[in-house]
Amino acid sequence: MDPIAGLQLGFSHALTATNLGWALLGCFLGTAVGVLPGIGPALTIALLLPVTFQVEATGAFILFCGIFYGAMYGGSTTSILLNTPGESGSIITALEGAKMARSGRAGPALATAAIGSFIAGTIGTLGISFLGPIVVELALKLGPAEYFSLMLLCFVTVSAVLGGSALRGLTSLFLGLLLGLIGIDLQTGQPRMTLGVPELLDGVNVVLVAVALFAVGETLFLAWRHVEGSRQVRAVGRIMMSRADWRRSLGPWFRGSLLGFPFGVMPAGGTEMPTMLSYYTERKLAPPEAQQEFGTTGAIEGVAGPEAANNAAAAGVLVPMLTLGLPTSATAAIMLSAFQSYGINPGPLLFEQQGALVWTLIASLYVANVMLVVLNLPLVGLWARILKIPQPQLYAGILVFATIGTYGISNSVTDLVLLYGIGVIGMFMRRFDFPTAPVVIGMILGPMAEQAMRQALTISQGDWTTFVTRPVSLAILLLAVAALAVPRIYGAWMRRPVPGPG
Amino acid sequence: MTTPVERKSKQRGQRYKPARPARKAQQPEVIAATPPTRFSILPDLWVGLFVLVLGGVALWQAGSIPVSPIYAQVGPRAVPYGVAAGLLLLGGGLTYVALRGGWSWTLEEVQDAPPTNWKALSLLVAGLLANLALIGAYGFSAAASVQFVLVAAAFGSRRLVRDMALALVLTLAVWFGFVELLGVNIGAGVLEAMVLRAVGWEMP
Repeated sequence: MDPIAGLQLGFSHALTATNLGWALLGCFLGTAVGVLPGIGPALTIALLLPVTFQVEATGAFILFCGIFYGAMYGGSTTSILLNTPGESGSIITALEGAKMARSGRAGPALATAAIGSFIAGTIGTLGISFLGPIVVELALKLGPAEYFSLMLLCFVTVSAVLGGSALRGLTSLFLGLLLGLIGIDLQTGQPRMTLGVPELLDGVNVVLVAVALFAVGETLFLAWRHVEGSRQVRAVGRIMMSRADWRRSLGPWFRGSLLGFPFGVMPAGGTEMPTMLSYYTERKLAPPEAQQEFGTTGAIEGVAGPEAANNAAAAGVLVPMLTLGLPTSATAAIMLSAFQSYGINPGPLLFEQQGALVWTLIASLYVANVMLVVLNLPLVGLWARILKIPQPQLYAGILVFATIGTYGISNSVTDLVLLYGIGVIGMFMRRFDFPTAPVVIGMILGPMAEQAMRQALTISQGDWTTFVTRPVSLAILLLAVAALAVPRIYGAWMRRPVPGPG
Repeated sequence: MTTPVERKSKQRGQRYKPARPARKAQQPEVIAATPPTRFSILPDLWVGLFVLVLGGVALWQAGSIPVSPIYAQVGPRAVPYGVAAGLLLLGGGLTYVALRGGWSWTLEEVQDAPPTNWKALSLLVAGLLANLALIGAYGFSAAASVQFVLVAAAFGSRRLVRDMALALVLTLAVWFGFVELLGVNIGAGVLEAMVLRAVGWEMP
């Protein structure tokens, strides 16, 4: 289906009252969890996965995408008013945004973030609409061998390229792969890695692991390091942007969007790299008088650019998710498991078999963007008030949701023991700087990769060279090796004058 | 939650000089080649050994997967062996790094970490254990309310009565939300049954 016809179909479904309602609910929830430090979109969608038993697929995914987009908007509010970024993509926003807030310009910072998010979201969604079908065309030509190589590339990029250390990133990934192996082997029916515990035959639920790492582990870590005292929330003030603010934001919005989207699309995933690049670009390009504001009173360019890059990258993540079935962020991984619980396999065939669903989803992203800019500009005072929920009650509340989200899976105390056990691991992962997202991605993508590998080997009659003799597969594998090696070599070369352990 | 990202931004500010040019000049020890002596390598070593043990357990479990002769080529064992091998390699790598001084001392968050808050941590763990002990017999709302009060206390809340009231309202609202709206099957405990009787609904 070509994009224009697809979007027409999509909008005709997306603009029904029910679907608009789901989008609004998603945007509202998403902004709220984006604002609240401690809850992110991955955790929220994981907790809301039971929705998939009650609601038809379209509604559920509109809700989830609303949460996904909304959290990106909300994250900037926390960064600016509290100077503690709620999402990894908002780290850079906090740099200049918090400084603007300190010098009494929180309002324009919030406004430029919201409008930048809108522009980036729209450009990103346009990207999904027009790039998606092209990627699907290409993806349909890939066999299981190429798919397996692509997943290996994905593993490498999500765990070893970003973050502080490839060793720790890969350890996280392998922990996820190990958790994904637990249970019955789908092809032979043999129990694997269960330690003889019958409760583990069904496998470990990804919701449980996500909740354990993102909610229980983090709360435990915060208690470990807890220091009494309250946080300071900056006042919002007037949100109107002056003429100069507009002039200075316009370029960064578009540059940030164009920079962010490709990063999201590539399995390099992540929003940290593009936001950082956008920040340094804007810093370089800013006129001298604006450069003075960077790092001192807070420059609006440093909020507008990275925030746009953040949202465009987040939108871009949906391209590999929808067209290839490859999740490159924790949130995308959880969404993928939602698709699976409907018996839908995201991937190239999704556009053909579930055309209406996909295009309705994409159309809803446009709708969500409009809703979010409306929700975020006039209602910013409301979101700022959410920030004033005191820490004790906030974390106590998060654990209540964690408990019900896990206990609701099977009413089993064993699950809760597992939840707390993995939570303790999560606490130590935080302490020792192991990233948590690769665990969730490995858990979801691992079994898919194994299946692709065994299919490819069945086709090649057990010949392992199939992965390197097929040219496309070989090219992808070389890319994975390069992604693993090049940053290390480059880093080692850059560090030559001051050698130190990695 | 909030701090991991904040920590990363700090690291980033360090690694990319333009963000905070003054930092490195003030803290030359951050880029020093050897760790300051006050950092023990023991914690990092434990992490490496834990991953090694995990790899060992994975290897043992992979070896005990029954294999039928039909799947001689790529049976159910291949990937488990691969994952076990990977974990053993990574565990070995982490142990090696730990023995050479570890990585904890490079983390800014660890460098200026406040001391372990045993009171907060033990109250929080008590909350989790109370939940485990109570949820089977008394149901979700009762157990989660006790947990809520203990967790809030862990983070410094001193208003016990208000927390209790909040806990009851929140847990019951969450239970009804999940059971009635999301259709999650969670049996009614003592508190839920009381509310259901009071409003005259049937037990779900």
